[in-house]
Amino acid sequence: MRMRTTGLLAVGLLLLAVSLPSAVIRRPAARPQITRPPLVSRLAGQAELRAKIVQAVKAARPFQAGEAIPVYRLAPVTRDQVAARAMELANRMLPTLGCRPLAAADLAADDDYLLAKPSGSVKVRAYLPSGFISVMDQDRVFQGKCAPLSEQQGAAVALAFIKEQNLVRLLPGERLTSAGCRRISTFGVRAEDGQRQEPTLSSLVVLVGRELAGRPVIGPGGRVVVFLGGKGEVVGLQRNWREVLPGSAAKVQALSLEVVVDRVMKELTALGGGKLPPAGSVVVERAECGYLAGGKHVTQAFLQPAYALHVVMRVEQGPQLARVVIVPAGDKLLEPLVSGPGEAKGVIRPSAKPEPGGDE
Amino acid sequence: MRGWFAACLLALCLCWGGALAAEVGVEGVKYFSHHNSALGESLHTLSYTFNITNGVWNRLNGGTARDFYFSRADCWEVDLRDSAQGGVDSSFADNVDLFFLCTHGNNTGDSIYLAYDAQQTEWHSNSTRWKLGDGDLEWLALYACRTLPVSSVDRTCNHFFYGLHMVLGSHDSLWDSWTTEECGRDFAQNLKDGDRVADAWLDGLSDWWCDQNALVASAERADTWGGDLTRTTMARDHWHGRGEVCSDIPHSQVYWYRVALID
Repeated sequence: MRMRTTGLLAVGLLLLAVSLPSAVIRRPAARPQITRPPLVSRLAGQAELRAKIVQAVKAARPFQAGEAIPVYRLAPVTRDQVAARAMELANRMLPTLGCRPLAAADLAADDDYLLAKPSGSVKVRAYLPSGFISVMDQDRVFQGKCAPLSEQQGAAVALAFIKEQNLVRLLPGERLTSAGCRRISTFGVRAEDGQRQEPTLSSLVVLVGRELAGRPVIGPGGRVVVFLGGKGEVVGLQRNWREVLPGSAAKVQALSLEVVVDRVMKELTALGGGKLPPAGSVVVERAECGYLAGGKHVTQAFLQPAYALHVVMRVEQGPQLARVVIVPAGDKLLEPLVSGPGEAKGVIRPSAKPEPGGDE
Repeated sequence: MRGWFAACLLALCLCWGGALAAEVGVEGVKYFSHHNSALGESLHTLSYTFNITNGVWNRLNGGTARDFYFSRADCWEVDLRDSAQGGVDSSFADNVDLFFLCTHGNNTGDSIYLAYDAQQTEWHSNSTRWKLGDGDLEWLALYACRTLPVSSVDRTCNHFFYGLHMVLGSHDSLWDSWTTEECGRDFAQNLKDGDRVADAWLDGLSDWWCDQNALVASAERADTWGGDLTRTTMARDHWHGRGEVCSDIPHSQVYWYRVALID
């Protein structure tokens, strides 16, 4: 009996000894597969994109964090002033375009806009919200012929013309800058075999920018655009130039580089529906830091500091999205910097799709 | 008697007005969530699409029965596809004088790629299946990136110019931005001002800050090749009722394309 009890105890101890190690080293159940990229690589992609943005912003000569930046008040424009300035500018230019002078009655109003077509292909426009004025010989700008001028030659002609004609009034601390050139050209290509004619330069478009207190005025509102045709004659002019009142209206404190970059990253994330685009697909074509001036339809009371990054998302086949990301440079805004996007005014499509080939 | 005379005069005016009224079709795609979910792509939101398309619609919509403006998932690729190829162009794009579309674009293999957020019946266009101008369409305006790269204008256009006068597109990026949201209204206003259609596009899209890469290609006859450019479609086409409009050039008589661009 005693022998039997000892034997059973020995077997029990043996079984316990065998089972214990397996209980201790049992493998945990396999985890589900994770398909998203590992966190380390996502963070690396984000860091790469951030580094790209930081580099671009630094190249734009950013404001120093905490620096007091003046905000400028713009002179308001009335309808009569815009009409008078359009007449003055047009009548200075029209003789050179072979046109008769404009009379006040020639400027017809349509919505927020004044229009005159004094003769031939000359078109005069003025926009009431901004004071934008355009005088152009459409034939010569879009379908004429221009000598192959270099950008430097073009800029020299344009700057001399602006000065001679006294086209802009500069405050102390303001100056004109060269903002490059673009070209309008035409050519023919044969349908059958793709044979191509030599392109004809219709006009050289000289972009003249504006600098205020050592900072560029950025956006379409900081421009005089001079169209050159023929041997280098001025055949068109657009002026989007809001007059600045002397002295600053207020001062704002410059945001730090980190905050600016955070805001740009946030904008880029919003574009991707909550996802940052891959760093490799983002090309910052241009980065600017200065005072933002809007387009011809924008009524603006202040020139406020801002950053603008011209970002193109490229995939293998070409550009996928081209977007200008605009963020404020100061800690407060005296008026909204940009207006938000709108929603569609379209109609709901009829639910039934028409049959192919149907006329109605 | 007097009443009859007035009624006749009114009817005549209405007929005359109807003859002058141009028809416009507008489509705009801003969000691509359905497209991205279905195809695993990551097309970005085009934030200012509707600012651009509203600008065109508000100025050019003449209230004719053929005018239409669709947005979001109501924009379909079959609207441009030829009826003989399963499309419904004869009811939409090819049933108006101007068809304006704003979406993501590209050009691959000499075919214009346009992205849609509804699969009706494809998620994107294939311009080799278009046949435009055999109905009513004169001008196709595409506010989309790189629809007509300079090197492939002829090969791309050869597929779909069947009486179409002009395609208004781009040779590289067009910008989606606060400063280019006015492009639609400026283009439309230029047409109403009586500018040539080609000039209206080049001027309307340019704010001279963003580098807009607008391009226009027009169908031309053999007699103007290397000859008098003032007789070309590009030099003569205006919005209906605002100047001269050329007659359609049948597909077999399109000898060359005149191209104008900003770069």
